[in-house]
Amino acid sequence: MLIEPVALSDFFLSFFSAALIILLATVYAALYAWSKISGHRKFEFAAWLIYAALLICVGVFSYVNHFNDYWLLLSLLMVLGYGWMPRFIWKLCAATHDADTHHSHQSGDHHD
Amino acid sequence: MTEQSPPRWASETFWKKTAIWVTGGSFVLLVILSFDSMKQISAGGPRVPAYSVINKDISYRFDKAKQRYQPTIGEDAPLFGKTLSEEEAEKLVDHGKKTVQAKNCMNCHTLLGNGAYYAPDLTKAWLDQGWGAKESREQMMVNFLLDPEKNARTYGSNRKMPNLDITPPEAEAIVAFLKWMSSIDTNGFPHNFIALGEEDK
Amino acid sequence: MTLQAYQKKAANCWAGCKQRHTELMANPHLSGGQKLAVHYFTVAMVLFMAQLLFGLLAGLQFIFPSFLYEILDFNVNRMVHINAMVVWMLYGFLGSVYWFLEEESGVEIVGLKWGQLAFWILTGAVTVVVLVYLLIQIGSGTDTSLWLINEGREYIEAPRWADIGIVVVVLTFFYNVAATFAKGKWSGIAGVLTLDLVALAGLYLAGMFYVTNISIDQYWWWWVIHLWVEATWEVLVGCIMAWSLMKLLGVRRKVVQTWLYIEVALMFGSGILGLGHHYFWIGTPEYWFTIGGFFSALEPIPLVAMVVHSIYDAGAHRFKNSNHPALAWIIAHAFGNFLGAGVWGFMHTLPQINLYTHGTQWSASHGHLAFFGAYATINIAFFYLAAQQARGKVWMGGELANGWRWKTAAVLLNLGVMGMTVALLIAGYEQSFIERAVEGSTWAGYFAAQNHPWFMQAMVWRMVFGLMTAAGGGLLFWDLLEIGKGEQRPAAVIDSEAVAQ
Repeated sequence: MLIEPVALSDFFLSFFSAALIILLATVYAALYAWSKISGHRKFEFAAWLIYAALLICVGVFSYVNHFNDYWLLLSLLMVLGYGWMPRFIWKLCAATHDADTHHSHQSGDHHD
Repeated sequence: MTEQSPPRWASETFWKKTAIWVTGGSFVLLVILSFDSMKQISAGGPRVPAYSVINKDISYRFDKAKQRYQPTIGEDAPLFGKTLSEEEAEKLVDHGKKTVQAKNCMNCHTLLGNGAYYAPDLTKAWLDQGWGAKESREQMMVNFLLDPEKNARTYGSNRKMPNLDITPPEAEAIVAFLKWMSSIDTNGFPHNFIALGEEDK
Repeated sequence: MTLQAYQKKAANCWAGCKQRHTELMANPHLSGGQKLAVHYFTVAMVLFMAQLLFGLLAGLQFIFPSFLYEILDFNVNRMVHINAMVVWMLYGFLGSVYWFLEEESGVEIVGLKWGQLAFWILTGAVTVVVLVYLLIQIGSGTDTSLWLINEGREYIEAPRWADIGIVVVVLTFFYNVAATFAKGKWSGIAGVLTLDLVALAGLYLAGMFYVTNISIDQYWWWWVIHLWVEATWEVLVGCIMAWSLMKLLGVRRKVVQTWLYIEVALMFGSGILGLGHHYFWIGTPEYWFTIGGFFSALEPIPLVAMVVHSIYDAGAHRFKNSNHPALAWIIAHAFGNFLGAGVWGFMHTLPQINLYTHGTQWSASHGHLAFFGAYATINIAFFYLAAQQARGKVWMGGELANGWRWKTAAVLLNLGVMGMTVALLIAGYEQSFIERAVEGSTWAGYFAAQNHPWFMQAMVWRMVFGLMTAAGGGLLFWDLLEIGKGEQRPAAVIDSEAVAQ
């Protein structure tokens, strides 16, 4: 058997932790981005706190969904992917817009 | 206008190439998997039995090795008392499938779990305990399809199937289609389903 | 009212439509392509109203099963409900592309006459299909029924003759787009858009044949449904958004196009093989569990990327916006897409839980919010952009005359859809629990779940929120017809540097 279905008593936990994974991953991404924008350390701290909660949710989700052998790779993928992705996207934003802001500052021509 | 160009990994060309490779790669993989899937789900293949399976007794049991429910094919049990050749069986199931489409069954029922949610799933309808006993099942199904209002099975919900002007040959064909569909290996869906005749096993 | 009174009313209505059409064709603010786009948008809104109406009828039948029994049965109402949805989305997309085609390519549309003809043919065909759905409904179990009445495959029920018509119309549309870009400027957006249209049309062919084997049937059927909704439509919307961002917010082309490519990589990278999550239970091999599960977990990544990017933009720029309704709907899109596709999707997508949620109201809950959040919202936003231009690039920001109307419509629609989604979620939760897990999906189990108080109450609440949605929809239609009329203030001018290459 490639999968072991969620137990009846764990339905709620499965739905709830799955929803929280996506929600927390987004809140984490938002807080991380916000800490970069505002420069406040407290947002970065909050982002890490949320990330810790995300780890717990992935743990609960993996447990109630009976992840074993290669399915555990999915847990790893979520932990690393949702953690690293916002940072990568941020870098990508900065890099792609760099020429943009540079250009407008130089010419003093704000296109917004 | 002078521009600072972004690093290579953030450049337009890099992402253009990435987009093309990712899309192309995913699509090629999908095509390869589709070839394999087609081989496995062709009628008469390992997962979808040949249409002449309607000549046999079909059931649904928990498979200990696979840890899930699995269709089982048993002794001879010809539908409507007639043993059909492979071609005859295919023709009958085909007529049934066509009728199921022309009568728009899928916009109330689900088939293999896909469709609308106003009426019960038909994946294992042939095996449902609601038909009472194996001996009377075929006739009950035909009667129901011919006059669903009179033979309504609403389980107290008041939701009745409308009369869809199904003819007797169409009704028999639908039953054949449903019998054949119940023999498809659906990876254990639905779970925990106790088929007719499996109550005390 | 007497018959004559009705006739008079109909004649007045017809005269009004003709009057509006004459005004539209004489509108000096719109190009040829944009006038055609307004045609598409108008029919899209009419179909949206049809979607709401037939949704309400189908929803009522859950509460009162004898309502319209054997007159307009659930399967008919539900079919019109979902078909109207698919078609109005497509009308919105086609219109949006016609809208920006000339500005993006820098030349007039090549073969506009054919495009206009295709619009009338398509609209005529849609009308005939709907009338046949409503008046003839079903046929006998023969090929003739599938060719002329209804193919009986969810979402793509349109009879085969109409399928062929749709392909011809899409090819005409493709010709307009490709030939116009070929004659004018060929940009990155043009490239992505053209290839995406090829995929969109090609995939439709996967849904145009009949097979006896239902596993094979559903295998290809999902190619159309999934690869449209979770891949090619998303990229099409990406192109529309990319152009809008450049045009409205003055974001530079290079940045927009880079991000369009990033989006294509993320969406196709997760979406194409994400198709696997539909192949768990239809007879297909077990390896789809793994493929479907893994790629489904990747599908929220583009959504996370959008959140980061929008915060980056909000920090880096201070955008002035002179179209508040459009902006509000883009924000609704961001939240709706994230919740509907992301959160609601991931909650029930893995096979470990999907074994119980497959084919229950869970799918209905997810479907309502995801289609609304991902596509309806973006179409509505574009309709407001079009309305602004059509009224002569007028101000549509703060202190707008009758601003209550668009705001109320937006609140009613968003709250309504969210409310329906939550009600259906409760119904789906109960159904997966009682019917699927406890009762093992027998017919008795199905009805035990349908008769459960949680389910019955959820259906009542769905109706309440459905009425709210319908009220919002009606108000939206009215607002789109009226907004900006008599407005004298011009819209803020956006730096047009972005639009130049």
